[in-house]
Amino acid sequence: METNCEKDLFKFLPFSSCINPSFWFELNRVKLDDYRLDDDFKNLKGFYSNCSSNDLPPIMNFDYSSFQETNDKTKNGHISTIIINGKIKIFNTINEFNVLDKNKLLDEFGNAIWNDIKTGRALDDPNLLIRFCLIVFANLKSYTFHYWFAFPAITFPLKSYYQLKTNKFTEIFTSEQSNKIIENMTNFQLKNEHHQSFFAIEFETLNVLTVKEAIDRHNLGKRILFGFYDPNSQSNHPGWPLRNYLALLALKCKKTDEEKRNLEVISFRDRYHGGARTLDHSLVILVEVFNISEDEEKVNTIGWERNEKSQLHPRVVNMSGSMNTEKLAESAV
Amino acid sequence: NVADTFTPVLKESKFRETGFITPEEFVTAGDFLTGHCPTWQWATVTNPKACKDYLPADKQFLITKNVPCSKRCRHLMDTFKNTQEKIVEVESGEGGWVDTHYLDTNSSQFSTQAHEMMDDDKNKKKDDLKNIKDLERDEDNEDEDDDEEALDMDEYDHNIKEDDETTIFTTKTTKQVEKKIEAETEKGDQEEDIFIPTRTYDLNITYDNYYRTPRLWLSGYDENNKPLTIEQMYDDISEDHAKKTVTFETHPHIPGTLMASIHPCRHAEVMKKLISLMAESGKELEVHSYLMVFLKFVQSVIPTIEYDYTRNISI
Repeated sequence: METNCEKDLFKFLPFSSCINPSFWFELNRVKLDDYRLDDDFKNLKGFYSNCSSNDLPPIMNFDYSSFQETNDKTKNGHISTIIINGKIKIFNTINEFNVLDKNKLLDEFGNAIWNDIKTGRALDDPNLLIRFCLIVFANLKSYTFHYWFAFPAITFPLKSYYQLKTNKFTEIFTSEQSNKIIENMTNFQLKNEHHQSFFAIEFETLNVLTVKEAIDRHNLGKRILFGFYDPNSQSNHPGWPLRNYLALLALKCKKTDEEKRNLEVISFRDRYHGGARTLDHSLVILVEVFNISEDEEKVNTIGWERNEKSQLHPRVVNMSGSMNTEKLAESAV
Repeated sequence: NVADTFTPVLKESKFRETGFITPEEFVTAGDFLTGHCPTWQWATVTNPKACKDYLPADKQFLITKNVPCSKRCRHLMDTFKNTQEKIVEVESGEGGWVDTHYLDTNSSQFSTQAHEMMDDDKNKKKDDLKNIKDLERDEDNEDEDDDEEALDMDEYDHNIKEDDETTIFTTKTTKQVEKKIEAETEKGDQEEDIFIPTRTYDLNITYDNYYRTPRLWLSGYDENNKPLTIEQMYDDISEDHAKKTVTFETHPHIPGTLMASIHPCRHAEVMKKLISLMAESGKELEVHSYLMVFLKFVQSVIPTIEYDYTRNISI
């Protein structure tokens, strides 16, 4: 592997899962009423936002509504929460949960993403680049849940992205331009059926484009800034969704004779405070990507979430304090 | 909730005289809140049993997630007591629900404090680290059961392939944060991603048809996104209100879910008082701002949970 002391290796902050207690109540219900012993993968929704507070890492939220099939888009023009489609598998025994080949499962998810990138499906629906997988063993007698999230990211073990230059949004765009971008962005989100995590801005016109349109314009030589809703809020490093996005861009953007080329990405972060919206802590990053081809041999997937001790182990949550009906009856007296 | 079900829905608007609002006014105020503070959103309820027919199906209640709460209320109160004894006395003397004078002093002091800490990032990190350590010591006993369980799990080797060098771990345990801060100090001012673990809250505002006011619900998470018990949440509720006004009840829209809630029995009274205070200084509260004022007064109960509301509402 090439080493280069001057360039910074591009680093990413993974998602952390945050599960509202109402999620476990609903899981309890669907397991008993609907899934029963069926342990196939089911659809599940996660939510992330690009306007989180400064003190927080990227968070993917889950609650009672994660099990709802309807994909209602809020009608009040609110565009800061993105719905992500993932899968859940609820095991019937702890042993099945433990012995599952988790590397294999993660690779299956990674390969599906890589496939969507290669076939261009991800160009038509870029939200496919963000997925998750949740495995659960629910002990409904003791109200304990063993669970583990994976947020699959495909990597190319022999190659690395480099972060060449990082600018604050305000260093690239004036506040007038920024307002124009906000306006175009709002229209872009309203026009699309689902809120898009990925988009692009044409520098010359400040038009907001779909990723597909943007790659075409980029390949014609236009200056394009590839944007994404960044769940991270702090510092110079973007959040997890950029990983699979860069793989898509590295493959689909026109290659040059060089082994490496540069792309511009916008880590798009909103902040609302006291009635005002600002993009000031968004970043514009110049990134060096490598050439990859569709028959790339070395493709790897990572992404199991670490537990509270930073280990690659599942987590356990005990909800008996709020789910055990006997206990509750006692405390209610 | 039987009382809620059989209470007729309030039709006539009298919020200035009584502090009560109608469901329509709740929706108006909610639209205004989501418009101005989009971290608040309307929640849709698809389960027909949990849907109140006096509210639109797509506007049943309001929700905001991942609200940071980096300080415990009692830490705040300790600092507060040292510097502002007089005001604390006034507060305890009144022993009542809300004292706007106290509220304002309190929040402005907190925000200057927060500002100073922003300026001196490293001090903040060290300060917070100390707080975390205190808490970890406090919570050592409570955590014992969980640890045992976790150990059982650890015995199974899941044999997961390691992440790569471009993954930044959000370090969560005190030791790791300590190590990272040391490393950072040695390296100089180089910016690295260090998240001082912080508690967060999800907040809901529902319409309470019995008390005819908004009602606030809280779910807290610890530094590792693990749900807090109600006892742990008491740390973030001002002493005067902790055991008195915060109850653990069934959420009206999420069947089976018990959640901590600020009991609404005195909300209307307080809102009425605030509205008349505003009227005295020549300001008339419009109904769309009702929830802004509500959130401002609720802050006296949960002063360290940093949710958004338009701060230019002055009372």
